[in-house]
Amino acid sequence: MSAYATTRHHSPSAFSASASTTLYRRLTWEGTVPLEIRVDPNELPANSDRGLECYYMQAPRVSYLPLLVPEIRRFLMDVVFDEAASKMLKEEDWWFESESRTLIKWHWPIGLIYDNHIISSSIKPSAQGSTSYLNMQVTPLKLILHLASPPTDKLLLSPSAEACKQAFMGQLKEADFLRWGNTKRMTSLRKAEQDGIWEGVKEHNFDDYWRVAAKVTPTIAPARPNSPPPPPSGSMHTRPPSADPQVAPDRDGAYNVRSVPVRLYLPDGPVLQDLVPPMLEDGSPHTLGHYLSTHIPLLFPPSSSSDSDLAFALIHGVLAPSEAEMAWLGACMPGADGWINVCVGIAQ
Amino acid sequence: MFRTVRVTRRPGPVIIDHTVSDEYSELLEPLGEDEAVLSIPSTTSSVDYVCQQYVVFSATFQVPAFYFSIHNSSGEPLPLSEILQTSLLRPSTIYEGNATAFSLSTPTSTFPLISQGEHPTFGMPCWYFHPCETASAVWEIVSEVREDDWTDAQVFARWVEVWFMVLGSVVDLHD
Repeated sequence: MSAYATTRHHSPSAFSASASTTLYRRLTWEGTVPLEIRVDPNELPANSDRGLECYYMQAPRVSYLPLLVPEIRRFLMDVVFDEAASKMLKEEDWWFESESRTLIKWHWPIGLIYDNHIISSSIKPSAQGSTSYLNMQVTPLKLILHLASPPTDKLLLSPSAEACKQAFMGQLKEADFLRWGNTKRMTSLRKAEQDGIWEGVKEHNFDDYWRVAAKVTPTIAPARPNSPPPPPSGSMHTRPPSADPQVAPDRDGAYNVRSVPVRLYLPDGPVLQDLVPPMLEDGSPHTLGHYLSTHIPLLFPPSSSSDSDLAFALIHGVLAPSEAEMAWLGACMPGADGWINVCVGIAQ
Repeated sequence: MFRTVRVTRRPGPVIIDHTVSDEYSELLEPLGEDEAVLSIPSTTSSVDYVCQQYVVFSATFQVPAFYFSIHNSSGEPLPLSEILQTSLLRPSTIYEGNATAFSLSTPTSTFPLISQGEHPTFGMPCWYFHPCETASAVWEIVSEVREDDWTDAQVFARWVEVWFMVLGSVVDLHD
């Protein structure tokens, strides 16, 4: 796997991260989900071309719906709406629902919207028989686009790119605070860097984003004398410890944070958030399995050593193994907003 | 912990809000300039709103946080520009800040003073006072009044009282 990383990405150490770290960050960044966006047929303006009101797209998981709206609008203007109707439309009034009429939160990352939909579907009786997530085909998330009268009592106001940026920066700063107990890393970024990190998300540019994000995200150092190696340790041994540029070892290390920024999503349920220390009191790394069996022991029984057969945990759409270490996830697989979103679905 | 109270539009001069029509406008006009001041006609001086208030625990900052929403008589949530004109917020809170459609921030702080966000438990949209500076502000006062023989329980009870006091300096907590 490290060979893959080094051949494909010519300068893995550009952001002083190891090749394997960069690989997982890039895989996370490049993740996409299929969307089917259909204008509510009752809201199509007069003279619209009704045969074409559906738009399919492959959207980055780390992006946001308000950032896709210009592309959707362009499509609708070009082929669906007539000129008079399109002049009347205001993007600030647009809002989305799922097929089952669940409101879509525009300030959530698209990957989280998708995974949250999957776990919500996991508790509904499915028409297709026994479809577990494991053998399910990746199907587009069907979204209904409404063009007017957003339910302002249920959605945040003003779904503009600017409001989205502020929500995004707020999440990044919260993640920063959770990790280090202050937001000094975020606040010491220059204005241009703070804007740059958002531009990276907006333009879906990995290098632009990580150039800045690397300054606030913890690192996985190749040699850490006091803590055990992270899961993909096989690839670490190819780099001698002396290659590590850090003099004061590990002040920014993933295993030295106060808490990993993690939120736990349950089907149609509340969002759980708690402090998630990278190491347990007995000195062993805090694993995903331990985290899940502590917070939702009925779904992830503490006694069983293997993965639960009652429920599954998705991180960026990936079935996450119970031995994954929380610190490693926080450094290698955070969303663009710095958070690890764990979506738990029910196995059928 | 939550309650529902009535708030009103603040009596006396109000700001003509240039931000209502422009969602991206940067500044609330400062009070005091002639064209920015008018008296509320008496018919509108008793507009009643329903304010829902919550004290919730911020899992990120590990302190209580104050969440609220304000609705008019037909159940619509007020935009921030109108919230700033209600009796909920003390006037000194508002004039220091820069308001957009979605936040009120002060030039020096990391986080906006008031932002919109999901209620941590119920998920519905709310406004909240950002809890990032709460701990340091409250501990600064608690450490001044604290006596040596206080138990932890006494310290934390005092802590919560001081938290409400600090909150009360920006929000009118009377019914």
